[in-house]
Amino acid sequence: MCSRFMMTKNNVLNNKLKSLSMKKIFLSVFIFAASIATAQHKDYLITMEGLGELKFGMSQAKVEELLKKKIVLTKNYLDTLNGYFEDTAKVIYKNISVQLEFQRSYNAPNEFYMRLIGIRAKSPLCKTVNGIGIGTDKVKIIASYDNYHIAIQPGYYNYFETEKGIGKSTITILDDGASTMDGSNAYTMLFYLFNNKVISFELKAKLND
Amino acid sequence: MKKILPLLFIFLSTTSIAQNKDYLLSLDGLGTIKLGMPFSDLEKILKAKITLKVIDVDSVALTETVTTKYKGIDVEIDLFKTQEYIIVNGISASSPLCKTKSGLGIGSTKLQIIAAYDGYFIDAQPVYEGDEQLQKSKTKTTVTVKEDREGNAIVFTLFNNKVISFHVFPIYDDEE
Repeated sequence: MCSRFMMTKNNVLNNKLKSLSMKKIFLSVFIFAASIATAQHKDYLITMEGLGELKFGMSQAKVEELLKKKIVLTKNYLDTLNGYFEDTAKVIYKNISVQLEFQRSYNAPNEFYMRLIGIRAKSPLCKTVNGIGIGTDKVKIIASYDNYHIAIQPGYYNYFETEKGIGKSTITILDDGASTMDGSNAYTMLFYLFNNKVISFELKAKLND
Repeated sequence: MKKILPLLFIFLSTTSIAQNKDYLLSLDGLGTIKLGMPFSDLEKILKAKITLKVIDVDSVALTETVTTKYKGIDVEIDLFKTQEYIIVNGISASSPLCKTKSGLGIGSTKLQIIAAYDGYFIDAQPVYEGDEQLQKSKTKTTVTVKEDREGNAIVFTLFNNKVISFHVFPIYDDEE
């Protein structure tokens, strides 16, 4: 009778231990999954200053280090007299396609490097801290950036030209520098929309030397 | 009695429509005051002689703003002296009687303006104040509506997200 009672007690104890260890495993899996999600979220976080680890002002060499790949610029930017001042390159960053824009920046009259001033992407993984990304509605963007300078226009504003078309529009969010043009660094976020939903975005910086 | 009521209704409706047109705010102007109209036509509409204190006195000056009454409301009118004659170049008011075709006016919100002008060029920005170091205002905003990148614009001034006044005038890229 006593041994039966002891056995039942042991079983209950074993079951409790099993349940406890299961709970611990679930918790660990949850923490692990959550930390991966957070890390991923940070990798694709859209901010005024860049996308994830890609930050404006980074030299081409630094970006290459981050991407672990050489970036080929094609517009003969090394020719400082006749070559282009800016250039773009399509690369893969953390498994998503992005277009990077570089601008010549001078350390001294004859000494310069290419630095990151623009990022364009359309991956649904990219989101702002408020969750704005591909598929977000126009009204949500306007409400999220309530105290910012917002410019809305029909068509897609693209390098000083506008691609017109029914359903196409661009929302630009300007930071204080871009809004006042007071000489400080200026950052803008452009969201390209089709039928009032975001389909791609571009981040731009106007940096001081 | 049955005949009088419909007549009264028709009379009131007609008066209301006419009043509405008088205060209709559009990219062309306010009611019958239109941007670009000659000063002489403006005086005819206002049924008043306006004494110019700047343009008529200073031969170099090309602009002047006059404050006057239009259909019982206060308006400010910007004038511009072209080579031929003086024209209306801007209209400002803050009367609740003034409304756009979609009903926007004093008290409307930023989102209402943006929703009403879908497909237009819209610029909604906080006002930056200060002489030396600009500070972003937390209460004052302007919302500019244009049909194209350049041309006539309505600039709504908002306080705590409600329209308190408006200004219709032409904007060109180099002025922004």
